[in-house]
Amino acid sequence: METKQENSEWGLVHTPNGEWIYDFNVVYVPKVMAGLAKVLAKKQNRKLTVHKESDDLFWCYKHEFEAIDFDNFGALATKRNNEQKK
Amino acid sequence: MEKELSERYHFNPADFDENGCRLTDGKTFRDVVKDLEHSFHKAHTTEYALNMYANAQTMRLLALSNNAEPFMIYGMDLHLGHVFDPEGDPYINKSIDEYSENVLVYGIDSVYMTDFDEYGNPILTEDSEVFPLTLLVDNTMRDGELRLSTPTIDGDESEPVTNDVPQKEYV
Repeated sequence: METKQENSEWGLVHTPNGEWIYDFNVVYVPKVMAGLAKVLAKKQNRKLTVHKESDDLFWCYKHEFEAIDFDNFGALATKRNNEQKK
Repeated sequence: MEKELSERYHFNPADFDENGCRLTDGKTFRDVVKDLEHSFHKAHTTEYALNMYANAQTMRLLALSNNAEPFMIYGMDLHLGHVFDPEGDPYINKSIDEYSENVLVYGIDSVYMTDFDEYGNPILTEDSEVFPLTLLVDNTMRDGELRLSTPTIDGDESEPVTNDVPQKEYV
């Protein structure tokens, strides 16, 4: 029986809302990255909806994912470490 | 160009609020479309609606009633006539979609989709008779009007069929 992952050759993604969109509108990320992105999005007050594709694979809307500033993650971690040391 | 078996349906847009819910009973326009899919299958018992044609306003109503994200646009524009070209139209719309700030919704789940995997994705096979309902924008259609259709089988020699039934008023 054909599975969703086999269907991906059509290039369409099924949203939880029952919509079918093209896959170039989404980015697929592993679980760890999805978790990181959610944390950063919340800190940066940005909207990010993460959808589960499989146990280890998630997807987000591309424009929401690309709006997140990942460059400052290192600075945030350093700041937190310094605060904890005080 | 596809040859199709189709049915036209009518509704009053003023019956729905800004969230796409019917004022009288709260039923969403999305659920109204599901009812019309049932009507189509009842009228053509061996067929399921595969295409939904409506103007941009009606598609907007459908999007609102489906709690769509604000950046989603429902329905492919028809570029090659008033009947869906399954090769040309998706190609053109996809090319536009790639550079658009919005996300184009090409279809929605059919009401007859009942098999889903553990992640909520419908399970489709080559033997399936049920596929997503393709959304097609035809701005020559009036507000309050939509058309469900399905391609005819082996339409090489068959004439385009549109059932000449009285326009159905949705009650």
